[in-house]
Amino acid sequence: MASVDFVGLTLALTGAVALAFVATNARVRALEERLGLSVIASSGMPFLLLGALLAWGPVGLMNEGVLADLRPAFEFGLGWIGFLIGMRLDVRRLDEMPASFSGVVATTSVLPMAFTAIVCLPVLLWLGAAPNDGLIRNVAILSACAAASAPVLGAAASASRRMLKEVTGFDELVAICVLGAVTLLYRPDQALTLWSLPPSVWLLLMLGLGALLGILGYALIRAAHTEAEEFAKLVGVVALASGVAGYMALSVPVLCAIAGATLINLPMRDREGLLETLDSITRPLYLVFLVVVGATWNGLAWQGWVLAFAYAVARMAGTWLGCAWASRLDPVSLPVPRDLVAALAPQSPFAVVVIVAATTGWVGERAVASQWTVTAVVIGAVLLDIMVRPLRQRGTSSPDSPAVAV
Amino acid sequence: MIRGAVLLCLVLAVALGARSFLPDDAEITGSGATLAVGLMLLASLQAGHVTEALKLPHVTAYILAGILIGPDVLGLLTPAMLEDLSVVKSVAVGLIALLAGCELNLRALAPRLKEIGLLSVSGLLGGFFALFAALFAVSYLLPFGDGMSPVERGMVALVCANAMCAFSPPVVIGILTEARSKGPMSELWISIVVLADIAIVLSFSMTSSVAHVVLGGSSEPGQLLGVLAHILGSLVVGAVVGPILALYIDRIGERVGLFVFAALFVIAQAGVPLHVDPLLVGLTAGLFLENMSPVSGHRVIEETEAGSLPTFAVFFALIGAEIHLADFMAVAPFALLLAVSRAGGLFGGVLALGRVSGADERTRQLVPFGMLPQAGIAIALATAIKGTFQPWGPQVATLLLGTIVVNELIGPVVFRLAVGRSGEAGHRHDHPLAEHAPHAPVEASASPQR
Repeated sequence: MASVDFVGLTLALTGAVALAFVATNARVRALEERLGLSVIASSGMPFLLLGALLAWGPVGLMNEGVLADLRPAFEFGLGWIGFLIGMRLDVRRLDEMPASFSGVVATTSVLPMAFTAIVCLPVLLWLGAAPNDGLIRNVAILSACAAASAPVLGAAASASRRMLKEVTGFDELVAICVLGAVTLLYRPDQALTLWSLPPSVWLLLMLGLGALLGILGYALIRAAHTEAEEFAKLVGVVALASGVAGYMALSVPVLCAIAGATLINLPMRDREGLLETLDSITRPLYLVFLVVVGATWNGLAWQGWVLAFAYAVARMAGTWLGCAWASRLDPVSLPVPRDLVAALAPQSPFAVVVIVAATTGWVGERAVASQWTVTAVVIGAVLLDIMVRPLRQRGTSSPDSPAVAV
Repeated sequence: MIRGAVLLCLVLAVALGARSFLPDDAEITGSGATLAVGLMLLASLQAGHVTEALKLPHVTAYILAGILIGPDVLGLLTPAMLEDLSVVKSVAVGLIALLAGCELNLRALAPRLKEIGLLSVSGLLGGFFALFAALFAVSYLLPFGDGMSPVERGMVALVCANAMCAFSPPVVIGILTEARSKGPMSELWISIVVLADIAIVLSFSMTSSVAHVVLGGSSEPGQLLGVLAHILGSLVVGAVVGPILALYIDRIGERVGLFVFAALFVIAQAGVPLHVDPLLVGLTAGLFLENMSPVSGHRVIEETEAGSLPTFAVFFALIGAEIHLADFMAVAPFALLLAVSRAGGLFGGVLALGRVSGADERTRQLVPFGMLPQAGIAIALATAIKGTFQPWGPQVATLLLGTIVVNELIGPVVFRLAVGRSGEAGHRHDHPLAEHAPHAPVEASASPQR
């Protein structure tokens, strides 16, 4: 890499790091809320735009070479976020949920997915996406992104709030499942690898590998002598899981989520402490991650903006219908439909992780339409935030309003 | 120990399985650097558990784990992976130096500066002359000296002896941290190895310039100026980074550890094009924090402690993985001879010449142990000799690297014993939280619940 690239990268990283730290400052976040800027900030737009600016031709600081250098850190970031999502799946907490919980999760995640697929498929075709060039894959990934609602923050003070927290957590898991399925169905050319297995065996392998890494992580963490060693082993397990997944062309966040879910469900004290450890560095990591995403993002293609509008409308419609149905399933534990929509309509930042994991994990020549899907999810997040704002302002249970948790 | 070994085997098995997916030369999903980090981290930490039972220091375990999983033994790490992780090494060196700077309170050390200086000089002189004599003799036994005049042999020995005097601040600080050692002897060890290494880098630039002239190579008059600019530049950058860190810690104070690592990452990336040495930058920044800023250096040590262990483990495993065993075996007897000469020279120098420093006998007996370990700087200087001096450079570099391997493996073990003998091990109690493992099984913890 040329010296100028290094200097550029240094400046770029300094900017990204400084911005990430400023953005995570409590006072800055309070100011965002006061000025009403949280819509854009929660979508991570400033970071995406910074990345896009740094990769922009005349600036050209984050070029292909630099991005290749950052790939290990990027992979680790994907794994860390996936691991955190998996660790939120504590099956013991499900026992405390009402019987209607699974139905609520199904309606609030599957209906937005279905609406997104139904609307985005013809839109993609109309925009010129070739049917035999990853069309179904792109639609499936957009659907996965549509499933994930922004996590509800804060303490679970009421039953409805607790229910909402769990629902949003499970929505992200649905997205993980779809992402995993897509990765298994679209494997790299077997001639390039030493293993030749059908997708069903890859499924078993991914589940088994994830579970094994979770158990291994559990055994390693239990054997730690100090808190510092515990943290080091946690980092090591996430890095190993991310590395194994990346190396074997499996989805990094999916494998890490399986490992995280396995780990958290084994008998261990102070689970919350472990989650806090993961959570404490997730937001800065996520924001720096967005800069890298921004650098690979082609937001100028008009097709992406059209798809974003279609995606946002479809997801909003699906969420609305899903919430109305869910409220019928459990009118006691859930808030009124309008408040439920206000809580679940904002898209989870994890959707950006899903779309990026899917597009960067694409082996072979990437379809042009996959760039449009990134724009759809990124811009769609902002559009959804704008759409839901009037509902929030008129809402009756403001404490349930969601915020960015990643 | 058995549980540690079983878990280590499991980690290796997972990595072995994953590595079998692709041919060695295939890179369809990147180089696998993330896999390498996870593997090195877990394998080295588990190796630490295994060697703990053998009373060996963790640093040695990390290096051995690196050798085990490196390209020359199990081959789980490829050269491409190691190359991609060079930034981790720079971050680790920066962190180690920063922590060293944070440990050094110059006001407290001021009365001992004469002692530190004279002990360093006596050790360096003893080591240098012993190495010079050994290298001069070896030049008659190995092919690299064929056809050289005695003067030329002397110049080769001069340059190489200078390089081989280098110490290893990272290993010394790593072992002192591991042993939770604190006290005058620990401060003395850190001060000597840090200050002496700066002197060695400076003197190397001069001896190599002279060697260029005598041996008929291309003389580079600007080389010395370049080195001086490099050192001064690093100090200036460190003097800028220090106040930035102090300002952040003082005014914002959130996620300090993460911020420090982010800053070190930026320094590591900038180091190559700007010719800035992360060691000197980190050291200057650390000295500023501890001695000139309102922020205590110990706060930085505490805040970065969680991240220090994984960084150190990966760094030392990387050093181990980069050892070329085949090359080492070819020169092993001579490397051993040089290592013994070096050790003898260091001990002889400090014990004999160190009297003038005013240090008591016990101090003079213990100080040379901290000078035994070698790693990063010595490797960098040996690599510089390999690339600079033709045709003998590559052959001599193999010998020098072999000697460094011996010092890498034996130095930490011996130094750890000396730390125990100093009576300062276990005297650092400024991180009580790190003593506990909150997710350990109930029976292993003192408190029943957290």
